[in-house]
Amino acid sequence: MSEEVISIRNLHTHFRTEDGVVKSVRGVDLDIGRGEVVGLVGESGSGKSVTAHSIMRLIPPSGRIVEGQILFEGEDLARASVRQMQKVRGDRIAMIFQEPMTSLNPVLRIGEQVADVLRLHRGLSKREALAEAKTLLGRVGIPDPEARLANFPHELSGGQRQRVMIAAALACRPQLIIADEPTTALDVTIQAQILDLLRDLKRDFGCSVLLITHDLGVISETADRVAVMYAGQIVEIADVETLLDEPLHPYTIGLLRSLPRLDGDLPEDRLLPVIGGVVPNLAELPIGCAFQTRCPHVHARCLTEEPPLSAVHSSRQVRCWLHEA
Amino acid sequence: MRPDQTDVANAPVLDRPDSQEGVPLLQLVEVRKYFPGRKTFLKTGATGVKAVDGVSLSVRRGETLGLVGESGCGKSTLGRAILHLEPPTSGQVLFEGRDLAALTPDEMRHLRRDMQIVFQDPYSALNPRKSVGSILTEAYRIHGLYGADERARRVSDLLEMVGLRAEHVHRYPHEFSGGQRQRICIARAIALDPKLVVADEAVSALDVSVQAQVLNLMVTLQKRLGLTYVFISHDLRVVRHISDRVGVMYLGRIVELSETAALYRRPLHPYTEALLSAVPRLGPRKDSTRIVLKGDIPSAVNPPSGCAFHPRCRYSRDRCAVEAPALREHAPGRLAACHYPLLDTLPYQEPSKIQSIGNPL
Repeated sequence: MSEEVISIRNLHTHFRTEDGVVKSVRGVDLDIGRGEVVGLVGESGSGKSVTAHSIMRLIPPSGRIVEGQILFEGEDLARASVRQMQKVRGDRIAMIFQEPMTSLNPVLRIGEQVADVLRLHRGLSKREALAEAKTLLGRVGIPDPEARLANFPHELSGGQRQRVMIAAALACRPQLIIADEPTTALDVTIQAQILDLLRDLKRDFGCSVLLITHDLGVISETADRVAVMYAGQIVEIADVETLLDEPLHPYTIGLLRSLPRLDGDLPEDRLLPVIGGVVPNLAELPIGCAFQTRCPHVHARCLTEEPPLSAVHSSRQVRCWLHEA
Repeated sequence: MRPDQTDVANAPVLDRPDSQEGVPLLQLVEVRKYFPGRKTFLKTGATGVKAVDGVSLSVRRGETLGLVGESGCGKSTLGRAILHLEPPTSGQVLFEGRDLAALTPDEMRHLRRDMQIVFQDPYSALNPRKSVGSILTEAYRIHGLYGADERARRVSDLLEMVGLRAEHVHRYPHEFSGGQRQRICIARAIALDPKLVVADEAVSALDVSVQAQVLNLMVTLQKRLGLTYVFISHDLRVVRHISDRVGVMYLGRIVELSETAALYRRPLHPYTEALLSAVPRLGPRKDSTRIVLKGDIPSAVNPPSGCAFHPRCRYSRDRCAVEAPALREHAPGRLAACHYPLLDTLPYQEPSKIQSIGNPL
């Protein structure tokens, strides 16, 4: 992708906790091209959501971006003022959350909530904004949008609420949509509808999407490229097909093997190949590679030196001494 | 249902389960669970929810029966009805041939040792103010089993069996990760050496790598202890991995019940077909024909007429809107509640009609 919409450079986000400083994001580099869908996959505590919240500057007060740049439209969001961020959020970058019920205001009608975004960022009159909101609701596949404008969030199903969130996110034609586990709370048939919608919107609106999920299946069906996170770092980036066909990092390999499948042969003994051990404590990380305690290929160098994220070839990077460039 | 089943229920209670080898461990006969509607202002006598609406099935000793379905399909309610945590509105639950509804409270308490449950959320399922040791010996205290030494020995055995260490006995739930807490919940469930364990979304809240570890633990324990599982989950991949047979639920009913491999290879019910097709695949789809169901899951308060799936079914015909199909055997060991099951001989029908059915989204 030649033209980057956003470039994250060496991002570090830390949290102060009772147990010491938790280094949630430890040097993330990520570019998202125009019209590209990049998946960010990882388990709880891998830093994928903190990365997304850092872009939006929505990290809680105990957290802080301590280093790095988030370059977006010529600005460094890591250093932008509160006022600058207010202009960016919802206008140039929009976010969709996992649980649409907690993201929508329960005492405001659907129409008002979508229209508010339009009035605030595009200066439309109330009537214009409501008309536009109706168009948007129709565009995201909500039946009878005119009637839905007057509904409250609790009157809609989970899937419909997520559609409303997407309509609000699209209201200002943002450059970038950050979708944080957008389908995790939804049933599988509804998830399929929402993923189809996201694909259509990317095609029709040409916006870029950063898709955060723990589900490699969702990534496989939606994203162009995927970055795998572990213990606050990206350990592997590749095109989705390449990553699924030929994962290089031992963590990615282990993760893919440990997934129960919908097709293919079942293991005779019904046992899945697992990644042993547990995720390291982000407040007391070992020296060297963060995956060393769980890696089947660990060797002396892994215990002393942290591997860099290095390019294997043009579109493929991996953080492992086994694949040193 | 089969007429002999009532007789089984009324048969004299046998103390020795060994003498009932022919009887399935668990049998459900037309189990229904309705929740009454709330009376609200201007709306008196609101209609209730038919959460489980006539489920009959049996579970063999040592097998794993998977129950899948989307939210609101009644799978969790059914799980709780099996254990009589919420007794069914009507129908029978037979455990080793004994009707749970016919037991005295004393007999029921005794039987509870044989049937346990593991819940989805290991954070809320464990009392934060009790140590692991106290959590695990609670069942022994309730049932007045063993002396202090024997209890301590059993608890350390349990911890070892679920992959924790004996010294963890003095720790509290908050000192453990989600995966470890679920191991504690499993240890608690097997403490009394039960015959049946109902796992209600037991691995759904866990991360992928931890989920695989806990699934392996459940498989290992099943072999070691001869457990029978009813494994309730919304995750079709996990259910395929662990189950011998799978029941698919939609709006309170079982719509398909088959041996796992057959069900996933060629589903009989159009809902199962759509459900399987909606699961995101790793890598490119071979068929590239994902069936995206239109509209939302209908409400169980006011389910559609006839076959409850007909408004979303792409094969729906006139008969489906008026007549509810019964769960019947269409091929050996393969049951489906559908007038037009997807047997290999069935041609694809009426494309013109498909456009007009269902919610226009």
